[in-house]
Amino acid sequence: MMIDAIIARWSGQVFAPTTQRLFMRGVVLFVFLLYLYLWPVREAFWGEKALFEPVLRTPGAWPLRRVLAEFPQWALPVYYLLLVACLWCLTGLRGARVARGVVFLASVALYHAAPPVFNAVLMLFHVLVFFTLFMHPWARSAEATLITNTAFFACRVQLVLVYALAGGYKLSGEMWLNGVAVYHGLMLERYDGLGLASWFSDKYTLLKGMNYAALAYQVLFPFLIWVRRIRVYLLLAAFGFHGFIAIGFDLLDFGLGMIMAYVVFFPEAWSRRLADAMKFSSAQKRASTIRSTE
Amino acid sequence: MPESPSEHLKNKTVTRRLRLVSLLVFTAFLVHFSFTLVYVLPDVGVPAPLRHYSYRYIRPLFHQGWKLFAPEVPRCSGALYVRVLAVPNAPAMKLSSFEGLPMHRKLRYVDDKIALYVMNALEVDCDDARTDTLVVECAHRTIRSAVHYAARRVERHTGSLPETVQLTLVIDRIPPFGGETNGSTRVIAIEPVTLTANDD
Repeated sequence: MMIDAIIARWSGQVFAPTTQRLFMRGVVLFVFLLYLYLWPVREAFWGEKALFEPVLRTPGAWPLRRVLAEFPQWALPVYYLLLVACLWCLTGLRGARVARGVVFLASVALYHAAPPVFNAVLMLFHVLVFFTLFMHPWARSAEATLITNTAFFACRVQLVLVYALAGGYKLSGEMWLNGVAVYHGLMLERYDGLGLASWFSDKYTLLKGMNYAALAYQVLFPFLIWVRRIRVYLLLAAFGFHGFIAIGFDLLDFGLGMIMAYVVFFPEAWSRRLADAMKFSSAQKRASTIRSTE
Repeated sequence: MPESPSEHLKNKTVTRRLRLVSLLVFTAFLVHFSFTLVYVLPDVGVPAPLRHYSYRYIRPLFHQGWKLFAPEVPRCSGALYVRVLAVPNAPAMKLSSFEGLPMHRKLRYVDDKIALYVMNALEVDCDDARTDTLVVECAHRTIRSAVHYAARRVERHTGSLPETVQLTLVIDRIPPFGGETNGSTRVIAIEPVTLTANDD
């Protein structure tokens, strides 16, 4: 039966185990760096006299949304707990799955206590951290392998969903189709931290070219990323695309986060080479064990 | 001992237990992404109960939105100024000019985002080319939150929480693409707000 064949394939062998391992660490590393970056202003965001009004006392709201509004004195300890849990995951100690669960819950609670601090990339990473809770690249049983592969696939689908939605929304407006959206984006003061707007302001042809290139990239990504031969070029283009967003639009966390998330699409050979370069010994050893059983 | 991946592949055995696990896993996958789609595409005609449950599931844990610069990019940007009314002739100061906190790029980002929230709450029309000062009264919850934020910034700067503050939104229109005309500036002053005991 076809369904049995699909189940057998998905439960037979972990897909791209080194990529999964790298991705799981990369996701936690990014969350760790994002919160570490906020260390100098942690007290202003989650301290005793935080800048944000605790307005989340909505009846019926999930406890995670209101817990730090009800108990603001817990916010900073939760922040420290999150950093410790991230380090726990990154050092590869036992209990990393539990630590990842703590990272997820703590980050969601901290986000709801200070929503204006974050942009969409943290939301994406909440979803990705959640899916990695179900990933076990060294799974031996058929059931665990199936769950691991489905969670890994879900990470890919989530990333594709981001582009499908962002591209779709852009196609429904006029600015992107008329080629003036990048110009307007760069001219907005809040996205001009590096003062590039004045240099770009009269480069109309360049701005139009960038507009259509960005639009094409986002619209085509959900389709082309599944084509293996094109994937490599798409990933290379991603570095340029999100690198420019990080620097040109002063959205460093967003740009770097998206680049980090692309690891989920890395070919296994790339990941092995990267793991070699990083002396990712345990990953390599276990990956070779799995290869030897193929 | 669980069988190794290779044995499993070789045998191509799909037990009843594995079928059940597969069913549960794929169902969870489909339900999660269906709820995500319903949440991020609220205008799509889905039954209200489904929208309600997707909101209850996604909003607290997996909130997401992908509308940065879409469908249109704003044609104007806003900056928030604060004036403390207890101080006679106190000038309105830009949020980002307050001191008392470490210099951090994220603070500037938050200042700009709060200004954006206020612009959205006031439903600012970027195509409105008038340059006169408009005074509005607004009891929107976003304005209350912005007032709270501004008052806390003042507190860090002066050492005491102000009783009454006035927010002013300065809106700069971006010159049209390739056009000859310049941008213009508009000011919207929000009626002063007195902080209640809850804000302290």
